[in-house]
Amino acid sequence: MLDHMKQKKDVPQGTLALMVLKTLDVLGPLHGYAVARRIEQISGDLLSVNQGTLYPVLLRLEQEGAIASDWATSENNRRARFYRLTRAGHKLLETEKRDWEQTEAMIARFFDVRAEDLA
Amino acid sequence: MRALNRLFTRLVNFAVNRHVDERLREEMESHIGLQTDENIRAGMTPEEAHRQARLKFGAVEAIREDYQAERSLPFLENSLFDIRFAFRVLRKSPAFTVVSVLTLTLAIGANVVAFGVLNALVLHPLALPEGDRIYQVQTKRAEAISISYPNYADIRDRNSTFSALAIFRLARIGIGVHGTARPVWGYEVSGNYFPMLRINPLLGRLLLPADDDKENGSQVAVLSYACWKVRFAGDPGIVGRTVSVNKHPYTVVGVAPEGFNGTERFIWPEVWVPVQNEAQIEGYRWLDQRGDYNAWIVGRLKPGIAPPQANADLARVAAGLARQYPDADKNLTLRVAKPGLLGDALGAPIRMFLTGVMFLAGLVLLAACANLGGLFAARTADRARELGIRIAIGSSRGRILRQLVTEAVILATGAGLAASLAAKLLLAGVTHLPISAELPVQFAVQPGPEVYAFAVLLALATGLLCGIIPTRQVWRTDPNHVLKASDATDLKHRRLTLRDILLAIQIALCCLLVTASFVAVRGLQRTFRVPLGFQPEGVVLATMDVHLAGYSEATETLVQKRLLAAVQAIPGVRDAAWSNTTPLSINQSNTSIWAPGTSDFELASSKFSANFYKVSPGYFRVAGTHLLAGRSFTDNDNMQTPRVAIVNQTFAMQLFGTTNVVGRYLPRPGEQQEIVGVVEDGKYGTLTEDPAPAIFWPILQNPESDTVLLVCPDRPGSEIIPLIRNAIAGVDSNLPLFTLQRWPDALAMVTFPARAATIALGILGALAMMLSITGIFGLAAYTVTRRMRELGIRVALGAHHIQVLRAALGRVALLLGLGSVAGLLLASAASRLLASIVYEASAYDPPAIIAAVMTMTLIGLLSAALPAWRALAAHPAQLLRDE
Repeated sequence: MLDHMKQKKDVPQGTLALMVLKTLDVLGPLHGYAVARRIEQISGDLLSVNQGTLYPVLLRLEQEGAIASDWATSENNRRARFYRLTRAGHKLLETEKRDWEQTEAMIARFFDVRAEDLA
Repeated sequence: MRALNRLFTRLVNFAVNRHVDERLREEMESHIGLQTDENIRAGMTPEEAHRQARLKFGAVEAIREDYQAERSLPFLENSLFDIRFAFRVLRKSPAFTVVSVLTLTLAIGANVVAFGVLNALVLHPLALPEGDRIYQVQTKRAEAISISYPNYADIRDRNSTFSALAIFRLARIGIGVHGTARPVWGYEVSGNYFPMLRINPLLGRLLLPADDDKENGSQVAVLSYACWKVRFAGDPGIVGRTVSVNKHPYTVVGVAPEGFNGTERFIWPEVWVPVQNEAQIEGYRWLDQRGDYNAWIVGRLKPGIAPPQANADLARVAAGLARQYPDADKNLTLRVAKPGLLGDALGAPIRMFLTGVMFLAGLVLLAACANLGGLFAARTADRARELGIRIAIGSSRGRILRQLVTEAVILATGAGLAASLAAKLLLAGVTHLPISAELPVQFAVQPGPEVYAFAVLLALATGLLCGIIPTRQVWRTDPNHVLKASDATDLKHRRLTLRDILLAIQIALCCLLVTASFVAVRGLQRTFRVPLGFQPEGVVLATMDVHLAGYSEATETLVQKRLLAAVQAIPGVRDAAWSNTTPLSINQSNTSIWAPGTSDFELASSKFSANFYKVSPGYFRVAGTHLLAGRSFTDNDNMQTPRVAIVNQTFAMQLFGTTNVVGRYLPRPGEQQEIVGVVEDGKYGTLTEDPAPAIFWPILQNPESDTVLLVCPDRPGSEIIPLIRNAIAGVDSNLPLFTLQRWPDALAMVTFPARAATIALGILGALAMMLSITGIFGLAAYTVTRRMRELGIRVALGAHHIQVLRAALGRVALLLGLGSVAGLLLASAASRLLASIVYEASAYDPPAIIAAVMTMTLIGLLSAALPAWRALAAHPAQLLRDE
């Protein structure tokens, strides 16, 4: 039973984008690998995605203007593309966060409901 | 806004086409490098660290597809990719490409040409403002399109469905240019003709009701654009100039716009004159004769009125006229018909014929699709391994199908382009084809935008149709099966496949067309052997109207005598004669015949109507018409002697019930005519008509200025024609010759429909034959290839040649047989349609059927020979080693 629970989840695209935005918001500019590591750490390996799938999401966010990127050198001297949140990205994060919280609250209420409450 | 931004970025990416993978590759390298470093720090060996890093990164191909999908416009990009790939695949199999493009070009081309003609002659309304509301009013009999003027006036005033109704009559008119008269087609029109059509003049004005309000009122004429340009060199001062119309001075009041060529598609007038001037121009007055049916009515339906409403209203008008004028209109019926092709007289058969040809061309295209579909199916089967691999590495079946359809559409598009080009050239050629006739006949079938749109749609549809035939194959491709097994053992060949059915249909179609072609050719051959009642071979005709050179009724007989003498004096001319017209020419006239003892010469009491000819004494000799009894005319049958007539057998039988009629009298209004001779029957109006009555009168007793000079030389026409021209010019250099040509050439127009039908059938038959050959060859070759191993084993087990052949080609032979029988049955069913176009055509014609069967056998032998040879060469040891 536990084994079953520990199976890795597919991450919905929108969720992954939100995680990327939040990571960049908290930690400042990061390269793709670092973003992937952070998401992995925070989700406690539960969301160990195929790390490569992050890149199409990064590209899409950049095309939407939520993030921007530049080549730079990483802490251990490797060239990498660093992503940072733009102002539009901050706004997007705020909206998405609000949407998410609303959804969450609504779902939570549904789960709290017991049969006698509806009577 | 965000979506828009993204679209824009993608468009830019798509357009500039930066190195697609560059950025992803860099990201990937950096990512995997960083992960590897970390793995090493965690204690892995460098190799293991790199491997683990790559594993964790995930399936590169899938990510790349995602990445690209984000980056650009995937559908367009995939399509471009498909197209590029298709070109590469097609280049790799040039034989397949050439064969399929050629097949499709011919099949699509046949359809585009057929549609081009159909569109130009039938579908496209006359090029007039709201031309689809213009209709002709005619009687219910398809060929009876003429209406008398008094009836016209009543129909015009009493109907409630036409906003305007005009009358016009086609006339040969001599237009004086620089002192000589040129023969042209002219329309005599009522004054409301141009206002009804809503045509605006290019110069000056067009004819108005005021020009046509009284007999010989205003002598005014409108010229066509072509007439103005060619005959008057585009003279800008043409308006107001006086030209002679049949020797009468007419004032040109205007020029019609360039695109307007009257309301008949084949006969373009160069001049329009008021119909009230009829008596002056043609020297014969019919405007007040209710029984004289010799002009055509066209009108514009009121908005919102459909033809059935107009028909109901016209029926009411006709019934009223029949009550009011029982003598002339007792049997009058009226209805509308599409204008442009002499109402339904020519329109009905042309529409039927062209629709039939279009249908057959469609069948040929279907056969081509079946053929190519078969080829595609075979190719798909041969590419099973490639398709299997592609599915195994993650391509979707939809993607593969799309690829196959792209290939088919590319082939069809290429074929469509080639076909459009060919059709354009062909139709332009047909348009400028000089069709032999007494006066120029137009055949304008230049393709318009509709035709090209049709070609494009047809090409796309064809491509899709061919491309989706292998759908089932692609869907059932199982990569495991394909990759494991060799492609030989396939037991499904015992069942009848889609491909077999397609081939059988194709063969049936081919057999139908081949049989139809043979039947048509045989019919055409026989048509030329039908007794015409005259011998056109070797005779030269010169048509002219001495009226146009200024001769009056008093002098025309004299000048005709001089012309005849001049031509007879040419060395090498055996004989010559006059006639007002010749049988089977476009110019035929009828007269009512009354029974002996009649005193009531009303139209309604006549016995029948007969073709009449006014001929000079030598006519029967020159025309080769046999005199069966009595005598021919002589110079003594003139104004001073009793009136005489010669009739044909049918005339004698219909009026007297016997052919022994020499010496009997025929009542005519105001006189009695003695029948002095009986001649053989002939064909007068059409080749397909039943024996019709005809009567001949001496031209000296019935003077006529518009005549044909028949010349019977003892040398070829090409040598004698210039001499005749000189002889005529020697009598009067101002006398215009309408035509001067060999009689068989003049008859070309009569046989034109039959010849056109035969040519069309022949071309479609040849196409179908070609398709059958490639189809049968394709299936036979394919079957043999697939079953080579089985055949090898059979040979190894001691099978005889005949058994090997039966195994290899039995099914093909069966399909050929079944298809041919079906085709022959269809052909005999289609014979009735054919008989209406090609005279004497009959599907119950043993030589034609034998020829068709032999052709089908030959097709079978031709196309199966090579595969059969390969099957016989099956060498067991070799084949088994190959596996």
